[in-house]
Amino acid sequence: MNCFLADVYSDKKIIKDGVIPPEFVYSSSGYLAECEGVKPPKGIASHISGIDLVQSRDGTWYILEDNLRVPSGASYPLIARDLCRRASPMVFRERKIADNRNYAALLKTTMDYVNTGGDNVILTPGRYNAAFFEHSYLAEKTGAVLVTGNDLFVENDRLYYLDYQGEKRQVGAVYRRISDEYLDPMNFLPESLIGVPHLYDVYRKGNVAILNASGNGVADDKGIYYFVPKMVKYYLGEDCITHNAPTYLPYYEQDMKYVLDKFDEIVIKDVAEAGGYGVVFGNKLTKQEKEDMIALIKAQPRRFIAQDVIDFIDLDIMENGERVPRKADLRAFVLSAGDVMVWKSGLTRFSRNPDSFIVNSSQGGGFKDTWVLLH
Amino acid sequence: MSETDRQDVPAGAGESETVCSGPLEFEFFYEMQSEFDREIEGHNFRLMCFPADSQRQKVRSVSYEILPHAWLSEGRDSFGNLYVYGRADGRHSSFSVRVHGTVETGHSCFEAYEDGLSDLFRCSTPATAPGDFAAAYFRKIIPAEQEDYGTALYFMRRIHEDFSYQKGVSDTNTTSEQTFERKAGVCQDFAHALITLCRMAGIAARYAAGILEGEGETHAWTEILSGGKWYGLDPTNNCIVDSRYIKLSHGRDCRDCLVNRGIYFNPARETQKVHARAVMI
Repeated sequence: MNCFLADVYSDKKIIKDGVIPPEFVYSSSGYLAECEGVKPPKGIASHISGIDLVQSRDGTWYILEDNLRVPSGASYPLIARDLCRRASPMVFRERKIADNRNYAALLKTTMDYVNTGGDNVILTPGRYNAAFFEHSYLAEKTGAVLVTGNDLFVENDRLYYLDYQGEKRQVGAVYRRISDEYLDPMNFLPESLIGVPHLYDVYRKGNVAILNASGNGVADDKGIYYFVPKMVKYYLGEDCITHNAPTYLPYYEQDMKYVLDKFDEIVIKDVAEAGGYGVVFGNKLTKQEKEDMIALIKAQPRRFIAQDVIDFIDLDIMENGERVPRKADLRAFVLSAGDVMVWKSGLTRFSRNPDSFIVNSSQGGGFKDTWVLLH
Repeated sequence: MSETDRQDVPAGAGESETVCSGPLEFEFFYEMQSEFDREIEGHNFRLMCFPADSQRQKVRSVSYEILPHAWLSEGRDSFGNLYVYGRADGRHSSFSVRVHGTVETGHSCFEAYEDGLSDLFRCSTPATAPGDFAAAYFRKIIPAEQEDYGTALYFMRRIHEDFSYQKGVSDTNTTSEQTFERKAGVCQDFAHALITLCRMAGIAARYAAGILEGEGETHAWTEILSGGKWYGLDPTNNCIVDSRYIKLSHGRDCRDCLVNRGIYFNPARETQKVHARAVMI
């Protein structure tokens, strides 16, 4: 994914060689022209990636989504593990479960690796944000300074904050937990009150690292997902080890035919939506809804992708004191700092509703710790 | 296929060569004075009103004065436009920008295509996206099959004939679809309308902002990609961009070329006076 991001904002070889049609890149809402020609420090654009995985009943693992913008949730398994350890230390003594307490160390290594000289900071929208707990927790654990947009300021070509003594200190790496459009009101959305004016001007000059880089949304766009196996082959000359869910682009005539033929067996996703919104199961629609949907797909084929419905393995959860099976997925955290480091834990998200496939916490999903067993 | 692969020389290129009367030297001024009806603070700004070197123009000298400021720094955006950014500390109720310099224009009637972004300039933006009015107009004037340069020239002439130049009917947020409905506007609207038509015909087109010989406000026109070169077309004046044009910036639409971007605390009403001048030396 880092090869793709470096290429797509510079030479665009993958477009010129016809692997990805240009409109899939430029019409993606995650594509930012402001990032054209900007080289991130050490060439890394996706420092912290959240890869959502599911296992089907036949045992095959599938990648559902690559989250390369600001994947959240690493602090939840950390806290859950901590509580479990205290409640039942024997479980961990008797079983060979990989220790997950190194996440902060991995994150610090990742920040230090791209730091351009100065302190590491974690930029939060503030204490009213749903993930503020995680921001403050990770700052505490990594030794980074927790800041809001108002604490940071640019002077000439550098980024600074004032420490508790009122001394000006330079910032070398910003692990930002706010999205691209709010990052810098002078370069992105002018209405943003939580960003840092001129941050991106300093970044353009290579004087600060931003984790993850701006513009990464072009690579985890649902429409681009289809092309990821082709990307891996193109840049690395290798086939993917982990599969993509079988995906179809109505944009291609052949796939459009498949979508129309198998409409009742597929799930349709609006590429512009996230967080579990804009997901439609073909067999759940009324006749009228189905006709409307097909008309919409024909009118705007670029806007949708279709996927075969995979029969995922349900995981057991506790609901009202009862053990019940629910749909779930696993988010693996992959950090890039020269070497690629996979955290031996992860965030398992599940749907509370027995009939739902949607696990997103913004739609009422729950989470639990994930154990990696050592052999 | 990328533009640089194409070897054909566009028809009309010879014609514009004659318009391009060779290098001329201009002294230019850009002055902006903002008055706020109450004091503002925490003022961050970014100004994009500085010509850059290209095949068309060579900048001989530029100086600028921006008041007040705590610090200033210079940058270059993804399209190669030069800008100055900075912050004014404390409270103030007026803000002034003065830029002065000399530029040699007309070294060529086109600019090289170098940034590899032709496909980006074929995609519509919110300000230039065609709607029903643009589509109806496009259908009505549908051009005869010809190469990109000729098609764009034809679009420019049609817009100039069919649209009337009127101040006050539009503002900086007006979309080209609204312009196709009104058939009236100012240079920004004309430039957006031409961009929309070109992109509908699959021609890469971009917005250009700058100063035209004479005195007044800043000007805007369109640049189109043909045969691996960017040509300037001015639909407001129905002419090919020649030595009389000093370019300050280009982008997908006017939002990429905003001369003055500023944010500050305190709600204040801002009145802005802009004065641009270019005089042949």
